[in-house]
Amino acid sequence: MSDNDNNTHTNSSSLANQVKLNLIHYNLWTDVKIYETLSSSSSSGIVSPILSGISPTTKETEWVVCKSLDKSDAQLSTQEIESWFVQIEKINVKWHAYQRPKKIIIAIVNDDSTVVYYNIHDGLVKPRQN
Amino acid sequence: MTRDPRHSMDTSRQHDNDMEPAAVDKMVGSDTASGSLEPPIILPVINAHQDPQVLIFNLNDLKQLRNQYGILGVLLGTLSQYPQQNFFLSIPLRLSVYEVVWLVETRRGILVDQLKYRKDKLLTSKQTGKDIKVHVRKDGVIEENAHEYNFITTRNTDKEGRNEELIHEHQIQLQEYIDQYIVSNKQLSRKQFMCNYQNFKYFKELNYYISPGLKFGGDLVLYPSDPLRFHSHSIVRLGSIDLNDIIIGGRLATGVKKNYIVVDTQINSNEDHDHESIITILQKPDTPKVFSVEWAGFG
Repeated sequence: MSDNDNNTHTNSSSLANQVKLNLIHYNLWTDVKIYETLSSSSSSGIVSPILSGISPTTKETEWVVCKSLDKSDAQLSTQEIESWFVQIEKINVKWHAYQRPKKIIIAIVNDDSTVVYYNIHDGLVKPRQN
Repeated sequence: MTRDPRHSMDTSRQHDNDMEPAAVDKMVGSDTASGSLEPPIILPVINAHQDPQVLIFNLNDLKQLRNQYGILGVLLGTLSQYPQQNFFLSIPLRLSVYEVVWLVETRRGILVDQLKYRKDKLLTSKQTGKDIKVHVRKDGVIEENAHEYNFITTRNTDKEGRNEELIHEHQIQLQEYIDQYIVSNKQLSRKQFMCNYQNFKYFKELNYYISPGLKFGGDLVLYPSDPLRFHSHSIVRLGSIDLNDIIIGGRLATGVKKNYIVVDTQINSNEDHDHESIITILQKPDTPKVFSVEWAGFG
């Protein structure tokens, strides 16, 4: 399931690689791995790559789902977000026997190659106080 | 607490993220269980057949709605002499359609056609409404039936309070109110209305105080308790979203110390709801999928 540097042909892998490079070199993450999802639940049929890595601030393993902001992929539904939590739970069970993640990070790649990151928490949580 | 220009009017409020909505309600002692102990509040419907609005003029009802049921509404009353004074408004309190549906569905309120009810109440009122001429002396004593008068008083003849018979005669059924509302709000489909209401109800029953979301670019704003005492925690977006909404909502919410909630009910989009009565749909339990979005703080 873990795939590192080789796939550069398909659209989803280049998206994953773009985010991986951004996480490692710009945001100083470590131990970044790409997990290609086998099934897709987005309406257009494009898979959303899932990454994991260690954030320099939290020093814990975080899960990142990649999306691209071009028009074909801009739609998002709560069913799709739910499917990401389920997929990561399945990956977790295989490797670490953990449960459904409490939060995932969505990485949105713009057409100018900037990447923005947002936290998506499972359920209704209190906002963090700055 | 350092003075934050974003909250210039609200330094007296608490920004306590440890407050859970249910815990605060227990502190205050409000009873948010079934409202069957009290008679249902009259919800006067204005313009019942074209664009129904529920406006509360009765101050006691307003207090009961806010303190006991956590229904906030929006105050509309302004003074025509001071049109720019739009911060501290007065009665009437306007209730949103979702607040009305929740009150009626939980038997805490009853919809009444206000025009008909008032007309009939005047007819059956035993007291006459004659004006009385009085003389107010310089020492403040008021004399009635004086020879010379300088004031006219008009008696309040509505001292009988609720007239239960007339209330039931002029009651508007919930189905009719909802139908009329959907007809006069053409941009809202029946299915979307039901989805929105299910989501509103979900947050309401978690004991959040809910306010319109326009101030923060969302559909609803959630407070853990009375907005006069606490800042809101969340901006809710009802209905379907796209990636741009995540970016805009997440960044905006994080900038004002809140988070952005996306929610969608699992009502099957293939079902035909137009022919099913609203009441049967309301009774189907439906736990929506809820996610909280905030800016990650990096990138």
